[in-house]
Amino acid sequence: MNRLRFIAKRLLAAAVIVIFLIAAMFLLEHMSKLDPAHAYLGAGASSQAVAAERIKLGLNRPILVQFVDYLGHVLTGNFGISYRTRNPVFSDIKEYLPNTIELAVFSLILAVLLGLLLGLASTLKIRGFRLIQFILISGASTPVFLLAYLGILIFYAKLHILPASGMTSYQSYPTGPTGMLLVDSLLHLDFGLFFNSLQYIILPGLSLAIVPALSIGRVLRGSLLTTMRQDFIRTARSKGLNESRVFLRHALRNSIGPALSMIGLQAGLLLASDVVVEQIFSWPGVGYYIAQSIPVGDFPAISGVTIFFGIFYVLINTLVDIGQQLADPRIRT
Amino acid sequence: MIYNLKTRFRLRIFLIGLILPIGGGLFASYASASTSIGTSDKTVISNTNLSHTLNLAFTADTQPPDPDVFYAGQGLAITTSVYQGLVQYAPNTTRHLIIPDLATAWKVSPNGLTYTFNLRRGVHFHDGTLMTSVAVAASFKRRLDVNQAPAYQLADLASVNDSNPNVAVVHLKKPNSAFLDYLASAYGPKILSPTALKKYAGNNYDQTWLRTHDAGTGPYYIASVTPGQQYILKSFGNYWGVKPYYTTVNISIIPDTTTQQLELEQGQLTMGINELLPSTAINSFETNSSFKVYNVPTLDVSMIWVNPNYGVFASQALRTALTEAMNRDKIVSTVFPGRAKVATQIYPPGIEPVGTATFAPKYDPSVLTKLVKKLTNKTVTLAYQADDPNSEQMANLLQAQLASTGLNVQIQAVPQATIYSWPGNHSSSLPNLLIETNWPDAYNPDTWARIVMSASGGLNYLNCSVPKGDALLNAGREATSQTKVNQDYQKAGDAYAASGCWIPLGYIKGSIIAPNWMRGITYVDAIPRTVTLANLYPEGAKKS
Repeated sequence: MNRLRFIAKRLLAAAVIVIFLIAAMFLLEHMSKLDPAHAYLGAGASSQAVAAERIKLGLNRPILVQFVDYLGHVLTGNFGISYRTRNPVFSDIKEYLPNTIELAVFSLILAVLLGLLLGLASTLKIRGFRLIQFILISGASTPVFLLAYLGILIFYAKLHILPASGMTSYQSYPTGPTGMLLVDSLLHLDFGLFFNSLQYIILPGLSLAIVPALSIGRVLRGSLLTTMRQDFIRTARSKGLNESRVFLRHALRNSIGPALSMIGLQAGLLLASDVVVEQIFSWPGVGYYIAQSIPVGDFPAISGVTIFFGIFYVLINTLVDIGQQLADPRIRT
Repeated sequence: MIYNLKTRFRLRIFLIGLILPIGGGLFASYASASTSIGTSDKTVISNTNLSHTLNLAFTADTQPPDPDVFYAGQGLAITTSVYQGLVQYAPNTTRHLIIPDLATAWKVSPNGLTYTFNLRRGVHFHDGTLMTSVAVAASFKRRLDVNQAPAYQLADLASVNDSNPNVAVVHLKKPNSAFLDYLASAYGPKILSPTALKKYAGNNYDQTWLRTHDAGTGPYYIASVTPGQQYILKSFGNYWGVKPYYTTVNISIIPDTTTQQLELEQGQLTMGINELLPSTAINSFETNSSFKVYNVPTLDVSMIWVNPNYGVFASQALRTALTEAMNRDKIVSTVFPGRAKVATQIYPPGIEPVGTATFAPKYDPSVLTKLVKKLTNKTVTLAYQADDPNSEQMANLLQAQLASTGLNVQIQAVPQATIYSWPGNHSSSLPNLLIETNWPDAYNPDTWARIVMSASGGLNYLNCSVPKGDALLNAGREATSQTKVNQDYQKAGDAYAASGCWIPLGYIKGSIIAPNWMRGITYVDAIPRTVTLANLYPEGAKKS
């Protein structure tokens, strides 16, 4: 019973947060002094056309009525029409989101690989590890936009190995079922397209991965050094196990926990740099979409993306809370 | 910690296992790049001189390329390549000259109410149907139905007689001396296929369909649109005019100007047409022997909007003194070296004859200095469009110049969308001054002054009202004698100039960056941010 009450409380809290978020976006739009009708029709629109559009958009109604209407629309996935693309914002998000997910997942995989490399190499003091450490620390100390430009200058302008912008040089390619080019190309067994798009994702992926990689590597190294001093490692050695088995089977498995937590944390933080990286590499993801919408005051797009991700975060957090409660009943409100 | 050789070997194998995916990915992609360029018909990258593919870039995704909706700068490369109107402006000249397009000849009735257009025969729409007067009537009707920003150009339309398929007779409710300029404008009514309009009308007059398709007659058609990424134009086989050399035009969206500059240098982009690269980038191409920078005339004007409603410049005397206190020569030559000249008229260049509607204040900051000494509040806010580095530089120079008169100038970077919300907003929070570069819809004072300077104008950002100017502007538009039209527009210009609400700084040229082998650079000064794509060809090639 207590458990049910807990879940109900969490769900109610989530609903309240979402409504507050929607209300905040609605109020911000009204406080921004941007005239939606004018923004939609363009700067040269006649005053008659603007007045007619205001009525069409329902802006002549009391603000409370507008809010209830807005709330109803948002909760049914209708974020309005983008002033810039003239498409429903939700369909724009559906179009751009897979690209962001693809870049984020690719960056995270790179970050994990580089983090493991750094953590293991520095713990084992493998020859050349200081160079890896130097490169990663330098990279992590550099602002992401500078890292991106540096990557373009080296790999595109000087070495001509990697492209600087876009997702592929193919004019036509499969657009489904996932909307993620790397995955879809594999599903369609189009390996040419796969390698072509792989070429395009490496630079933005690396730019996003360097900072999380260093964090993961440092946590792993610290954890590994602590574990290697534990009694059970000594026991394993005394049983006659060889060093690689002791290290990989016993030490690494017991040290990976903090690194995994760090990966989870970095996955969220990675999205923060996403807007800059998508903009520099013309990567058509949600960050790129919102960066294009802000200068032209495309409020439906800005608020739509904000609310969409807001709802997503609230849902995830609620599910985690509920999951933790189910796993460990000692956790209470 | 001591490891034996075997252990070290195993651990190294493990590390190699980690490195392999990264290195392997790099190698595979490199190998893929080496083999795909030029060998696969699916690839876009094609940068040999004689390639029939033109690779261009925009810095932002454009508004939908629907001629009755589109009202922006970037994107004109698409709309003007895909759609055509009844008349057009002559290219490669700074003279105001209207020439035939889909109409071969036209006449205007003496009362200015009837325009008769003889239509070009044998013109096909991209859907294969023939262009007739029915299309003219349907296209004009659609513009009014859609009723977005460009619809103002047909506000005086009464009807279109399409009884003769080769002649379109347009009747106006009242005379409109700007009407032919509206028709020649890049934003003017274009002729769309009535068959396509009927087929894809939906519930919004085809607006959904025309976001990704077209219904025009131009040398190119829209082959594909990948939202936010790319527009692909293909040459239209049944085009009535000279076939373009470039059969494919890829326009990628590359928001970052540094990336765009690098891709241009590397030859991945064929040309830079959007004129939005900062001056420093343009300068670097001027010294690069592989490129040529074409500084083509445009109607772009960098101008200062002055707020007459609040603060320091509510006084006419201070506004007049302000116009004299600026060293416009210095600002223009510093920000646009070799690419602009100081404005001499209140209107964009060439719209009215030189010597009329003049704006030529003598540089003398002493008057403003004296007036400022008497002020109690010497603070002035100067806004500029946030994403325009040239406006920022002009704002900095102006700040320094006005500081010498005793004014305390505070600079604000303001997003374009916020600036667009100012007309009609008489709030005291609006800045005292605004710097922006803009251009008229057409070669006519009406398409500039009515939008920028009339009391209800959509770009009258700081809400200055000059009733005398507005009345003369209306009189000029409705006049039927060209002499009267010119007189009224010139007097309207004088009234607007005398108000001190607008200070034109410079006439800005567009910078087209092309490889030195590119030929056929054709510009129309009333169409900024592009050249005529269909006329381009590489040296040593013959147009098909």
